[in-house]
Amino acid sequence: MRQQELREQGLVSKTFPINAAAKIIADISTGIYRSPAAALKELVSNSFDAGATELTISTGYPDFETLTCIDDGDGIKYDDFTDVMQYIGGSIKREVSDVGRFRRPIIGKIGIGILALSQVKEQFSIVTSPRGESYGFEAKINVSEFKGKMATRVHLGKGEIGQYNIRKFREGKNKHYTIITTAKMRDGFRTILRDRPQKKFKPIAQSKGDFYEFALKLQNYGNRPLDGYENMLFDLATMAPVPYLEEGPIKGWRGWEFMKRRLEKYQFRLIVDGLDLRKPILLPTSLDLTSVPDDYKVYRLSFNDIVDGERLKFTGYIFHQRKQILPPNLQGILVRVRNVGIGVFDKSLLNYPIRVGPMGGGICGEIYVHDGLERALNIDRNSFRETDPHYLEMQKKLFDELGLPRQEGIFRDIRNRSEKRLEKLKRKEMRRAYERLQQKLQRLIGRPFYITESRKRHSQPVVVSPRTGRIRVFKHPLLPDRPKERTDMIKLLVAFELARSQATAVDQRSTFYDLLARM
Amino acid sequence: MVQLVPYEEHAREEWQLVRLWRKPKKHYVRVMGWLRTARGRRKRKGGSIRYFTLCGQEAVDIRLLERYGILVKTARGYPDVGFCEEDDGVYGAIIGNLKSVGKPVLGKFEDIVKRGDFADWFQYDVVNLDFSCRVFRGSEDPFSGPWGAIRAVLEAQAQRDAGFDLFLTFNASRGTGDEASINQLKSLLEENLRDDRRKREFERRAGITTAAGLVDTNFTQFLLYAVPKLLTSLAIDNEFSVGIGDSFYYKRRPRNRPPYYIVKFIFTLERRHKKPRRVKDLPQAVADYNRAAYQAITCRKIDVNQELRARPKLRQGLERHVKRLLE
Repeated sequence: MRQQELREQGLVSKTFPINAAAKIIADISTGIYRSPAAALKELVSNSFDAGATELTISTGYPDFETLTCIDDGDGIKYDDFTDVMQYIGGSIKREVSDVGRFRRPIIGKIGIGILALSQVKEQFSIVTSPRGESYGFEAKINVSEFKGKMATRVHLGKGEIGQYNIRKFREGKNKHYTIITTAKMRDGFRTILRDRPQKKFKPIAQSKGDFYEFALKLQNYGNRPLDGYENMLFDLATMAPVPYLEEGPIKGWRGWEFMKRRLEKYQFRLIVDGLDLRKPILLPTSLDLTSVPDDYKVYRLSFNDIVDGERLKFTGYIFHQRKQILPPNLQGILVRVRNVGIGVFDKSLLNYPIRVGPMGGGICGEIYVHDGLERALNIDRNSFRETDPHYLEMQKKLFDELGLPRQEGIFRDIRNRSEKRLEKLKRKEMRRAYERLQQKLQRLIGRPFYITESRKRHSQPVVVSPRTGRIRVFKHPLLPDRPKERTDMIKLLVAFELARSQATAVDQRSTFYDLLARM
Repeated sequence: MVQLVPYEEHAREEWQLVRLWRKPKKHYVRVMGWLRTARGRRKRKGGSIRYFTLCGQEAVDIRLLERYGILVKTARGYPDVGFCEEDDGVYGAIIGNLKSVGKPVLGKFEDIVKRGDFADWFQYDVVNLDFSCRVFRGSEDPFSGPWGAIRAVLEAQAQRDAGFDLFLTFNASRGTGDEASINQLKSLLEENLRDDRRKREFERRAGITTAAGLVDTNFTQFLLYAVPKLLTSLAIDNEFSVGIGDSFYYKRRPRNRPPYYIVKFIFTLERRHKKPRRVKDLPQAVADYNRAAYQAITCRKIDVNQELRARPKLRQGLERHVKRLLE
């Protein structure tokens, strides 16, 4: 009775089902992936999770009419497929296990990744044969009707977002594969892939070399923008859980061997239009950068703690070189969750609050997240929810490492290294200038001279001992910093000091001008 | 909405499970026919050749030609090869096997040739059209099916200033509804037999005096005589002179279906006119036509079943050869 009264007064809470507009799902399928590489990454992740050792993608280059993906993974069971297609958002992958074949961490959390294909084409087919079964099936999927205003009022679970036909067939029990084909890619997708801002250059994709050559060629491009297809290859290779190039990511640096070995152990090959993709990270990116720490340096970072009730664990590195990293696609920080890149290299350094200027062009870093951060992933799996505590903690750690104003950190170290290097260069240049001056004086005066530089201050900038041939250069405000001006000033002063040793003023004057002219 | 098709026999299953493309009969033709001809083309061209095929799942013909140095294979795949496949799954399997191909096309070849840009990209030195369907498709217009595609191929290739080799494969079954087209083909053959010399050769080889008689008694043999004639007519219309190589035929015995024959043809087409046709070129054109018409009768027609029965070691060798190619 009491309840009835309360209800009539509107004071008892009611429970309503939450009906998400299926337009959200339509968005997933029609365009939240920012680039072709981001859409293809989902297919790569699916294959990886399915235990494939090889995924072959054919884009139909250069016409980009038909996209095909073939892998030798576990395939999809018929019942699992129909379940996933009925209840978008549910997933079989994580429910079974967090670790797959070859001890690969399972990437996919929600089974809608396959709908990323819809950004490529609204109709596509899947032919698959699951491992250990003696059947296969072909499903033709069509989501072309489900877009725009039609989708706004459909309730999830009651309505459809598309249609699919399935046909089973007999298959050998030892066969397991998945083949996904879309005929006639969407115009938008094709337009991006066919984009060629620098038409006068021959596309790299026409060359017959392997991926290592491809990566090297991109480095030699300078600031030339990559064309659409090159961008897709580069981004996909960056994001995918493929191994590094043999020399990568940093030549001669053994600090990342454990990660390289781990990726090799996953035994996953990704072949796109015949190119066996590897992570295209080969640092440093200029052949003349050879000296550590003068030319480049690697900084490690790691974190392992409980944040907001869940463990957050990551390891990474930040590489800096004194010249701009090329291609520019490699500049910034890339975060990987379960070995898959989330988006591309972030030039903003996860929104680092201070302007870094030209230094930013020399930064390349990777952060591998081993535990946590997944809840911060947006549904496109290419960006993060920046208010998530795990993301904020990772950001904070990165900023601490980079260093904020008036703090020690990587940027301060970069400046210090730069100053030291410039100092070294200056000293080297001065040393060469002294050697030249010594040789000239020997020719002019007929005896050897030896120039040394002292860090001490003195009332005279230069002290010359004609008897011993010793010339000492001291710290003095009269001496400029820049080597050329400094050298000229030292010559002037040496000439002056040597001329002073003459007996008469006339001789002194003539010796002075004579030495100046000849030096 | 899910539309389920009950678990049933599917046409694709048979050849997928049995892997007919690995059978020695088929491989015999690859080695004795296609490989030899492609080698000749490569030698004449003096460089690697561009090859188009309607290959099977494992692309044995492509691998064969590559193994013998006729096709180029780079670190990235086969840049000078094009293929067409109608079935999504088979298309994907071919890509999976070859990794990368210069021109992969998904769709029915007879539809692909109708696209506006077909002649722009269809420029090959060797074209292998393994239709494996009946010669005609039950339509009154003989050019509505594969022959429409063949004609489009000839027109596209005519834009090159070079010859090419053409391999054709058909299922030699006679379907109901094909009669109008068969009658046209029969007339074409009978026209060929108006020449006494050709008629004598025909009678000697076919063991029968008329085309009509051959249609009724041995349809496979009829096709072996008539198809080259048809192809010759089409080729000459497109300013090609035609050389007719060996033809091959063999029997297939599928489960739960009546047996049928497969017929295979090899043609070498060279450009006749570099400039527009002139009146004084006519005698040459007639001579080319007569030569080809005679060859259509006299070319070797090889019974592959018989060859392999007579040479069991050859059969074993071919089986091993295919296996090695696919390793």
